[in-house]
Amino acid sequence: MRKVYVDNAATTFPKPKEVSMAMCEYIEGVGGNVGRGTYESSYEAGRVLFETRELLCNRFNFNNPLNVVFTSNITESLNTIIKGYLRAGDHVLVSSMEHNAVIRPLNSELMNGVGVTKVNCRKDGTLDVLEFEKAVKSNTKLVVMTHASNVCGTIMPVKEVGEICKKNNIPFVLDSAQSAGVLDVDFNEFNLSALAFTGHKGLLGPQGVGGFLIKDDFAKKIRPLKEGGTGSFSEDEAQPEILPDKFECGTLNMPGIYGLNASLKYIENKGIKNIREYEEELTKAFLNKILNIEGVALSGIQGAEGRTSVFSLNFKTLDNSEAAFILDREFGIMTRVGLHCAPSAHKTLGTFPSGSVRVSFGQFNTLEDVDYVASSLLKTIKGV
Amino acid sequence: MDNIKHYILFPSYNTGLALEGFLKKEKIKYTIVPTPRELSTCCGISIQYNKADEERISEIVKVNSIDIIGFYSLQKEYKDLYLGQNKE
Repeated sequence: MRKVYVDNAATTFPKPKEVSMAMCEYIEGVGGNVGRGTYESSYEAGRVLFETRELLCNRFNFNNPLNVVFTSNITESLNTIIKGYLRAGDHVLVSSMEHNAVIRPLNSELMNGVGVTKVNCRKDGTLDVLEFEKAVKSNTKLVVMTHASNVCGTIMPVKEVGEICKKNNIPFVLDSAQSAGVLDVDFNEFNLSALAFTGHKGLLGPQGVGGFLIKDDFAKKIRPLKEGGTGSFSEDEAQPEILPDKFECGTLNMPGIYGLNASLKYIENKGIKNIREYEEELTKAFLNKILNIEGVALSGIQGAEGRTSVFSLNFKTLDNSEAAFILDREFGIMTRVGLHCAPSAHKTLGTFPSGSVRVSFGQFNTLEDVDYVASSLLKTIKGV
Repeated sequence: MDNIKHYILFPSYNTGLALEGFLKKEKIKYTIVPTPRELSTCCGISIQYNKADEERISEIVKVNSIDIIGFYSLQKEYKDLYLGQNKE
């Protein structure tokens, strides 16, 4: 049976072949613990680590590789920033389209005396910037926002939100889980204080490596979530303040970082513009097909503008889980069904608690895949 | 023979790597070495360099705002541990 992977919003697959080659190179040929070992292979791994920080700076238009912090994933990045920064009495603004990686840490901060306002988005997931600005309070100390919805692909007006933050002197943290490697993500243009990323989605790297880029003044206000060995200031029993060491302790995921290094170079070679245009082509082709299929409703934006290639579908005559099961078993199409760790976004879109079947295309899907998915959807509805 | 060796010490491994990139670009000779214990209790790395390049390196550090602990020199006195035995 033909197999088509369209769960790229969860993790991209396949990866460029250079990724596994680089990881293999580290495991089999380099080894060495960066920042600990005092031998050439450790230094060599250190150079790749530093180069990966530089590649991330290039990717996100940021100027200081030492302010690039590696974590295990974007959830850890967001937890580090949110929990380390907020204090009792602070107020946070988010949109109603956020992922649980933002909503859950904030929910636990409610118990610590932090106030949270979730600004309701429109039914297609778009944000009214004026409504957002109205929600700013005198004690608003943080704005956290996704760049693009993981449920329906709606792109948020992050540049405008960044301007509001700048005007009101509020640190702005961007969740780039669904946009890094797909859209232009510009640290300076968006007036960010921190940018959280994950390596295994649009950046095409392996699972287990993510991080954040952070401004000096903002970093100073954040208590680290983890403390431990950094290979620096070993005589001191207190966690160092210097970046990235302040937030980067314990042995790093070097195979993951080698893989990410290779995937970032792949993206640089291909060009973000070309990547974006290709995904737009797939998006247009898919929209042309599915908007004509009766029996399935698309959540969020109905056109190709203002969105990524992530689609949420609701089956009118079938249970969504049943539809996803048929797509997998009968057609070899890999989707994700449910609430996608974003109940608040589903409430906004009117698809809570039923959820949706999410189809998300990536760089390695083809127009033939799009046709196959669309025709299989039709067959699933018709029961043939 | 001149047994004086010259080292740049860093607050962290990462700042050392940051300077290394610039030295490479400028084609200045250097060697990454474990920080001599006499100079620091830190378990990190240092960059050993030639005294003749010190001014250029100093300028690179300044222009690129690289955080270093400083430039250090160490006189090496080599002791032959077997000397005493041979004499007997």
